[in-house]
Amino acid sequence: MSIRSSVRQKVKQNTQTLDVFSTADLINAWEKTTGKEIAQVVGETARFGANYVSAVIDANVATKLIGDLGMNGRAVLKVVGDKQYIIFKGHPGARSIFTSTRYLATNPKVVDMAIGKIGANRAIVSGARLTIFLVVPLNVLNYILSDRQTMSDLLGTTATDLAKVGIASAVASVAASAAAALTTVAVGPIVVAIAVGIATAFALDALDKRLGVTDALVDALDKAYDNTFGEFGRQLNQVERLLNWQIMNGAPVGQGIFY
Amino acid sequence: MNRATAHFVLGILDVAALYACYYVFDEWAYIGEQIENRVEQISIQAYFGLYALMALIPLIHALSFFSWKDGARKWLSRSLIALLILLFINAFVLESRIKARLSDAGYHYCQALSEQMTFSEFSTYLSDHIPCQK
Repeated sequence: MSIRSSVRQKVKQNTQTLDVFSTADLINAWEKTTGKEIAQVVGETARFGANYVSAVIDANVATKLIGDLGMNGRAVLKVVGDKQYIIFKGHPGARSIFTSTRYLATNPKVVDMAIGKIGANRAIVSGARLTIFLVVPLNVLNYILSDRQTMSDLLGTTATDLAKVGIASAVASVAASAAAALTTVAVGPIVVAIAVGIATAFALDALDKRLGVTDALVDALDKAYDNTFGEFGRQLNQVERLLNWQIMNGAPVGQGIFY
Repeated sequence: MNRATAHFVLGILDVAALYACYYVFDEWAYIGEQIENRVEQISIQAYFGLYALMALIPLIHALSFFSWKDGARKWLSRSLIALLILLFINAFVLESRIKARLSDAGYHYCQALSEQMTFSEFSTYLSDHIPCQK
């Protein structure tokens, strides 16, 4: 076999087809194939993850806590002088995180493991902050990828999202504080915070859907935009058309507008 | 928070929990009713079974009224954790059962009419002969 035919054969064997798409073509092809809008899929999947990431982190903390204190782990809040202490019941030698019997309520270990009022509240606030940090950029991403979203949609949705995260966190925080004041089971407040936080978040969504708060806010923003910038744009357009007409017809330019 | 205020707060949440549990049963029954009546469009909040997590609140509240021996408390804590996990699993099982029920009854999921809210999705299912379009 000659070198030429050998090379030709090798090239034939290794033939590969490479299709080059522009980003827009690729997105179009994907949407036609799957029948779903890419913004919807990216946004919804990521949002679902973002909404529950704080609950998953809380559950992880609760698991660590059970691992360290055991199912029967008890933590009691005690005030001595003007300082609050968390007293752990049971044998400290069997624990790996809380190796002492008592800690200040503000101790980083106690706060990190969401024990007591301060700890539970910190967990809720950091969870809410994390949700906000994830939800807002996802709204912006959704706005960029979607063809059907307006700036009013982005602002309205983000505003109600933030309000909902705030309300759900506040309710969960109050519930966790109440549970911390009554129950001596260490995981009690964080379990209550998870249950109340999720239920409140779902209830707020249902209320929003029923009352149409987000839609009303988006409509109001649209109207506000139309009445200010929109009206200003229309007036400018009108002036421009009048000036053009005056120039084309030899009429005194600016008459009726400036003098 | 003092004990009286804590009882008051948890008391309010107890009422909310009862309503949440009633809502889950009512929603489940309402979906069945809609399927029986061959309603063309059914809209449901996805994973609404998670409302039932609230059932833990009255339990935790009720337990706080009594003082328990260490052995009993151990089993109570285990039961509570097990119940939390069960309620989570229940929400996901309920969701898959609803989907299967709707699919068996000749409904299909319509993404165009479904609405993604902040924390959940309101899924819309259409009767098979109705095309999915906004």
